[in-house]
Amino acid sequence: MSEEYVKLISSDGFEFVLRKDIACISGTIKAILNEGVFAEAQNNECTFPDIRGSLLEKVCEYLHYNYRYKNQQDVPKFDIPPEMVLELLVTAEYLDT
Amino acid sequence: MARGSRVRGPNSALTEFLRSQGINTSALGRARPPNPESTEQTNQGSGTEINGTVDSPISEETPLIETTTVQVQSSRRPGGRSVKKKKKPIEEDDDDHNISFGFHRAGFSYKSRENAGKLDFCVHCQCRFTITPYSKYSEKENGWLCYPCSRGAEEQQVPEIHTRKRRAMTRKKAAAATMDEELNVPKLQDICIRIIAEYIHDVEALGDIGQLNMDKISQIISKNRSLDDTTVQLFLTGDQTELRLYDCSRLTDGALLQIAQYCPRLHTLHLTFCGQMKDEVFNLYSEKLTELKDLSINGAFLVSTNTWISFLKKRGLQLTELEITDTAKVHSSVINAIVDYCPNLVTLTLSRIFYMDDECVRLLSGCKNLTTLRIESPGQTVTDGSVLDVLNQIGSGLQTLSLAGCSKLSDEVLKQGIGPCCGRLRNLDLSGLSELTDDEAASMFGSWNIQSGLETLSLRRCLGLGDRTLRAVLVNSGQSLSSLDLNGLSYITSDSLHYLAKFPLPRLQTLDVSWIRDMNDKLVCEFEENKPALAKLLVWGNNHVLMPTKRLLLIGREVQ
Repeated sequence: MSEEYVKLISSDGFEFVLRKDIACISGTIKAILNEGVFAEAQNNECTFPDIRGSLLEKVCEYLHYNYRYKNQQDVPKFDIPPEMVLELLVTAEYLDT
Repeated sequence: MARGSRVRGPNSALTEFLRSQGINTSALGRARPPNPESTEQTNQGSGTEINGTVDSPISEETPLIETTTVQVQSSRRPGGRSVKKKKKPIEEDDDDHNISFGFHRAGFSYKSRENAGKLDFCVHCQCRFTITPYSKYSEKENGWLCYPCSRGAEEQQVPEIHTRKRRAMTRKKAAAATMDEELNVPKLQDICIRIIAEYIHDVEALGDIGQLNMDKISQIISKNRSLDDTTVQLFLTGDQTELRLYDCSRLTDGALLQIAQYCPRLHTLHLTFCGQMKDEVFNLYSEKLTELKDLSINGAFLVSTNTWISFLKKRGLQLTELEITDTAKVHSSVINAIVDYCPNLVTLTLSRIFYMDDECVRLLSGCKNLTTLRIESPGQTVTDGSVLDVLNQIGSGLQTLSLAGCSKLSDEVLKQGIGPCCGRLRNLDLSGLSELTDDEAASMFGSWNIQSGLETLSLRRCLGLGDRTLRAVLVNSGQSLSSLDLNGLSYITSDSLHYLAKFPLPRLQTLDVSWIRDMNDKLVCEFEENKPALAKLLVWGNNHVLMPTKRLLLIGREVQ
């Protein structure tokens, strides 16, 4: 079950494939994918018409960073270029991450 | 010095001892080629459990994972030189040369002298050079390196060696992280906010981020002391209803004026450390902030008495929550005004008011609708009489009561005030009431039948209280308590602590047992097992609490 993969699709058509358990670190994504009735849950796919590819990529990068360094000390800094930090904050709030 | 020579000179007492114990210190802090001979030797190492990491790829960490005996030796190196510079490794060929000298004896051991002076070809650049005691041996390329190449190799190889200082730094960081409760990987939002706070001077308008995050940003910026006239613009958007600025010390009165000008619709305004606030600003607030319901002004020491009174006259009717702290200009006239002009007041907090005295407190009995009353650290003496007056009048409506820092209060307040009057009380803060006695407090809590159990209780630094009070509190409020603060009650004995551990406290989330001498590891374990809801345990100054916990957040543990 842990090797299931899901696809996140951005507004400009970029597709990101990642493991389901890592994607579900985001509360919103978890809620979308676990709701059995929705088409997203059936296909294991999630489309975000408001999120650009570059932002979604950074989010995926963060999800992996979170998974990798969970409960550890000496966690390295997660870099974000300042140009995207504002939108990323809004996106992060939307995705509950 | 022929190889394999059985002739040995005099050794120090230490080496003799080690050899007699069979302790092989050859792997001590020395990075060397993982040749099979050294592996053999360490495997034969008698009596000491040397980890098999000598031959592992993580050879750099060997010094850290040695046995205690070996570590003792390593820590005794004079000058505490850290294990950084890799000296030429000793080539172990047989058991006889078990004991090697500490390598800060600048390579003057037998071993390095064996090769010294020999001509060799650098394995990296193929140049010819003479091996000295300082030459490096490259594990990767299995050969000696000339001086320039060894310099290059050293830069690459930077080993993650944990010197004592490093370890202390890591522990400090971990302790700081525990204190700030930042244990896990931070959320992406938090990381973003942090970066925004760093770049704040370059950010113009943030747009719509949501009220909760605006508050978080406000907290971070205040923490960074970056809140000033420029950065405050971020928060003045116009249709805001809540504004909390946690550090206004750098905001000039011009900026404070802007708050009223740009955000007239505020119904919640909390300003902390607003030392630059002057009368004109406050007057403007009373004009413009027509919807203000919740006001908290901390540290506005320049605002004069009359300005307070005129503000209360104008805006008092709509105020439901008011907090004033740290000012010497609030006299009984202002308190009078509060009582007269704020009939709808539900929450009142007056902390560190310089002229707070009995007269002021007595006046407060006129606030009939209060459910939360906090009189903390008054500047003048507040005695039982006035507090009893207040409690007799409005005590029955109070859900939260704090008398923290009113140190002159005695048991009478409990016996005749809180006990008989405060039937609806959920949160009680008696910090610093050092004159309370154990017996009286115990009997008050024991016979406190009119109320149904406290949710938070703080008996911080009520130095007179002890076992009996604790037991009475548990019996009274055990079912409902979610936060209990027993900081400083050193008279509590281990019997009572065991009783506390066994007592069912289903809702308890935070417990502070700092500075209680009898607190120890066993009790911490018991807490961890028996209290399913307990999440945070504070153990400052508990010398006998040494072990970390698995589930609980343990704050304040001493670490060697």
